[in-house]
Amino acid sequence: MVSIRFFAGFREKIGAEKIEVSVPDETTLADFITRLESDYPEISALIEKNKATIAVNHEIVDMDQTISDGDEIALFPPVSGG
Amino acid sequence: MISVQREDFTIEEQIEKVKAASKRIGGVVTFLGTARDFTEETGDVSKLEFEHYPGMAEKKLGALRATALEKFDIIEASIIHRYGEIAAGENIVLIVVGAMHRADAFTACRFLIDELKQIVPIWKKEHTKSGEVWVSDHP
Repeated sequence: MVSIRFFAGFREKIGAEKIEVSVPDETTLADFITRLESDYPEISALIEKNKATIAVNHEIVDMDQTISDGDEIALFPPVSGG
Repeated sequence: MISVQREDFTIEEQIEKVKAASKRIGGVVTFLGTARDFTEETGDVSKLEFEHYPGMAEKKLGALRATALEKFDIIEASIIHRYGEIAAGENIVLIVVGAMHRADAFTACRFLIDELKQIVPIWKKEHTKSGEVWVSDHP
């Protein structure tokens, strides 16, 4: 299983801090996001409307990176600290 | 030298921590970000609320500090950012940079706050009379 965490406005719009989904072997981040968007249309809308950042295990990675069981993926809007 | 914390901080204490790194420090520059009670976009703001991504926020702050230490001729740098509810007038973020000479300390301090605002996963929500708004939701 892979966990997906949401922050700030994304967390409020999805109505959850975290969801868990299964992932086949050798799935790239790009494939994973495409599948996620078809399973969860509300996530698709968020990614389309906002400049969403996608992090894997606390790092911003390329979309061709492979996702593995146990990974933590995070989806969040542009940051606004400071 | 890096912290994301709910509680307030003392500027004096952080300056002393940076100074303790070396007696070669000849200049200390600080940036203190505080909560405004007004913004051009939303008008009156009664309080702010900050959310962070635990783990990643600290990691990014640590990487920023390391970059500043490598990139500029400075001796020590500390960064503290608060999360949770912060009333107007309260402290939000403190950056303290110590260097042999002031020019490098000023440059590094500005670099740290500018980069923090761009890459560290922390989000600000403004509470106003007309409701609550995440700052990243502004058009």
